Amino acid sequence: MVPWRMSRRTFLKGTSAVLIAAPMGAWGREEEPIPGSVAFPDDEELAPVLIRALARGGWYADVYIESRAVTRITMSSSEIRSLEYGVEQGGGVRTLHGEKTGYGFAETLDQEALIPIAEVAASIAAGPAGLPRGLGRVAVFSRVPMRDHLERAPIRDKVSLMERVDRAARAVDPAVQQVVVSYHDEVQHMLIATSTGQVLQDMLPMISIRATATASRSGRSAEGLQRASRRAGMELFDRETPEQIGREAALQAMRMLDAVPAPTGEMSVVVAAGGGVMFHEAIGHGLEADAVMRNASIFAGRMGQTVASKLVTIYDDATLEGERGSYNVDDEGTPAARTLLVDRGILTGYLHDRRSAHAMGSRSTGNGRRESFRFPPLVRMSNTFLASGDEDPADIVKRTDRGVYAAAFGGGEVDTASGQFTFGLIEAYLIENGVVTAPIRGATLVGSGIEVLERIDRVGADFGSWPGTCGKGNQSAPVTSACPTLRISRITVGGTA
Amino acid sequence: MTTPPHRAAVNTDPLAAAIRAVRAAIDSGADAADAYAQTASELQIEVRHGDVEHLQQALTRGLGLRVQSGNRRALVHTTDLSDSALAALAAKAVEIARALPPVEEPFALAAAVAVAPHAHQDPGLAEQSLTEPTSWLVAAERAMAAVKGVSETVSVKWTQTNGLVALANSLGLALKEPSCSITIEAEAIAERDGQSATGACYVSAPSRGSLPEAEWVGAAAGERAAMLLGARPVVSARVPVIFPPWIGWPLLVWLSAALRGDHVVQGRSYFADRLGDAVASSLVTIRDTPHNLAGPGHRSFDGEGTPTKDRALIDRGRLEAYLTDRDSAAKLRVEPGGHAVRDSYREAPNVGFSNLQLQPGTHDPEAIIAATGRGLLVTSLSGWWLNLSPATDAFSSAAMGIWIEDGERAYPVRGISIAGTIREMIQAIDMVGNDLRITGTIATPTFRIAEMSISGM
Repeated sequence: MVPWRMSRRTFLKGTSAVLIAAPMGAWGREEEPIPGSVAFPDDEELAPVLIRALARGGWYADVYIESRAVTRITMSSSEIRSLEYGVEQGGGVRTLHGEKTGYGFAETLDQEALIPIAEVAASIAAGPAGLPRGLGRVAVFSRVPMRDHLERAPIRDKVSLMERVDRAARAVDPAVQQVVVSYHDEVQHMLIATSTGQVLQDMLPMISIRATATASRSGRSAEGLQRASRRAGMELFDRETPEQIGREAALQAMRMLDAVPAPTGEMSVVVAAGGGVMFHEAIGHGLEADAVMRNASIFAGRMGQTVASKLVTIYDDATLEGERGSYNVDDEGTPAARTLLVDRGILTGYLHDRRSAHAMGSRSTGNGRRESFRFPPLVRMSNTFLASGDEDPADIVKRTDRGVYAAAFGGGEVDTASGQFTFGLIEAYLIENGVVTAPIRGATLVGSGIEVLERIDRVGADFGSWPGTCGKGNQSAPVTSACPTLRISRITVGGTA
Repeated sequence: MTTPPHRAAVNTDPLAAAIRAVRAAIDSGADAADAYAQTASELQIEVRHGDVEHLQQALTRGLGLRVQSGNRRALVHTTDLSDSALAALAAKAVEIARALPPVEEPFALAAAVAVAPHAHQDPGLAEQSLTEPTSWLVAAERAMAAVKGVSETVSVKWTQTNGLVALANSLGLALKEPSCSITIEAEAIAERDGQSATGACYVSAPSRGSLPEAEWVGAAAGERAAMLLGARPVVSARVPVIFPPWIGWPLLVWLSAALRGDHVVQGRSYFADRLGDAVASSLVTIRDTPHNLAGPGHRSFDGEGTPTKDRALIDRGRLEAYLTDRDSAAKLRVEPGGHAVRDSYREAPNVGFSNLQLQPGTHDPEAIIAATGRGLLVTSLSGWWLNLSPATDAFSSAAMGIWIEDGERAYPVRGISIAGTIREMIQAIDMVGNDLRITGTIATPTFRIAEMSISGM
């Protein structure tokens, strides 16, 4: 059951501002070839599928086959409440005809099942048959190494990590009365075969852990959230220990226990490093070219124009090693790339998949992503960053008379057509005379894309990133957003006071 | 191809597969087991500018097997329903469960009681041609485009799932029921003087017969965009806020989070220890109606095989019941409410609702507006879910809508946010409309909250 729908309104959910070492400089690491481990169909079996997919015409077709082992464990009241494990296998075939898409999928790896699916995909087209090019293997090099293999780690090790998170959170204060810990990992093997003649195989790991602590004292309650997630194996916990995750969730709940209702109205807001979710919403979704194609973006027709203050440089980069939004090739077989979106305030690029690039006479930027074989690709962000500036973050607060300090973000939502976005602060404080003072609860920030980007008047030299899950067109995708400490001179705070 | 997938008969019996999986689990040494299996044909059509832009079809099937070994439980899922695959699945499930630390209280499966499954609400759906939904979408899009001010018909989409769900357990329970839903998403952009506004209409129904007219859906999306043209901010104020039927559901999403029995057990709900108390205005009755066959969430048994029952959760303001699955009911020492929800066979049951409704009142919706001297008719909310939590009830959301002066619609407003605490908001509901219409798993009539804080300029 999907309790609510936001199919065009794209949104981003996440739970915390996880400060991790700046991932810049991660490029250039020795690249390692990927070991294959799943028995996928061979080229002779794939070729007839692509022929069927183009049997009624169309300018492009592809086959996407996937096998994904998923483990989810939930703990509450210090007990394991659920453990789910499964290997999801299936394949999808897509035909593109003009701007139209035909798509079919089946939950099996059998090659025979792909033929009827290809016919479903082909039914979108009407015309003489197209001919796919002869298939050849393309090597994929991984930027997402997995040192401690997720599938080799015993369940009891994963459970004991969760117990450590739980214990650390409860040890913070007797007021911490509940801790919910969720663990999720997956190892995804996939194969992509395109009518342009490429066959690629890849493997991507993902691990995430999340702690929600509830603190209660004299009739008041508050929650604290903390999450860590990377495309990595169990070595994630070398960077961030279970104790740090549990303790930080509990400390946040304790800090918010005494929060006062948030003020309302327009004011200055200092966004802490890690508040990149704001740029994911304020500008990122509007630069996804499928929205531009549909006249459903305020950034349509703005290429080369000033859309932000000149302190603002934004890029999307799927090539960062091990980040939650990273990958090696996108789900259409295009290599992952770094795309400059805004250069010192000037709009320089859109994000494309094959379909939007074809429609707009451009090239794919390697941003065609899908939730699984059950969905055709959409244009999606990967890791979206606002580049650091040169101010001391402490100075930015010091120079703000009155406003809000946004310390941690709960997620956001944007209507790309109007540019209106909203995002929620799970931890925020008042700034009074240049000093961070009382915690405030229930604050949201509301604004319109370009207007807010133009009001960024201070950018810090620090950097923080935030792992999240982005929702668009009923598909979810892992992403990272990141930024330094920065100030928006004026933005509407929707409070509860 | 001879038979398109959306019409092909699904040739796997999900109940037979579920029973085989349970047997395999017991053979593998499990103390108890249940299996939930789904088969479905899926169809999605999107029309843009009078033509099919996206066509998607699939046949899906899968099974989730939950096994118990001592006070330990694990769920393992697969899409391969062959005997050998189910045997391997069962062995894996038992192995994983035994690796877990035991919980204090034993798990209890649903007893094998007789349940009368609901009939398929649209038995002819499997025979439907692709032309029918396509024509429906084209008509909806035409109605959307015809609304004055609409500049772009962004999308009209039909998503249909037609299948069966089955549940079996080691106490001998064996249940099967059709599961069918049609969801429509219609979205429009209106534009004037460089200002644009968006409008949407989302509906879902268990049959074509319970869908609203295509023209109504298209026009609704168009009008919700066009009515916001020329919108401007207002100054901050505390005024009555009116929620029309298409925008009241976020309030029920918030309430359902706090009504979840598992959240109550975890000590995370502000409704803990409040059973029998007056928690809302006496005009507020909230019912979950799994037996309402016009609602897309209808079902005769829940995701654990507990028979479902129509019931009030809040009755004339009084807190009557929590939403419970078997685990939370056992801890709360109540009968399981039949509120275990399976999002898919891949996931363990969650606590949720089937068809949730704020019951209608007596007011004509226009009379509610006329009775409001100065206030806001909210027509769009965004970010209302950002602070969603069962533990804290600080609601705030960006909003757009129509400003009301002297009981009349004065002008559209944007760039504002509305806020309140959920507990105060439901106490302050002072008028409820007579216009309830079931168009999704959550439905509300028009209602008014006597006072909320609006922050604007």
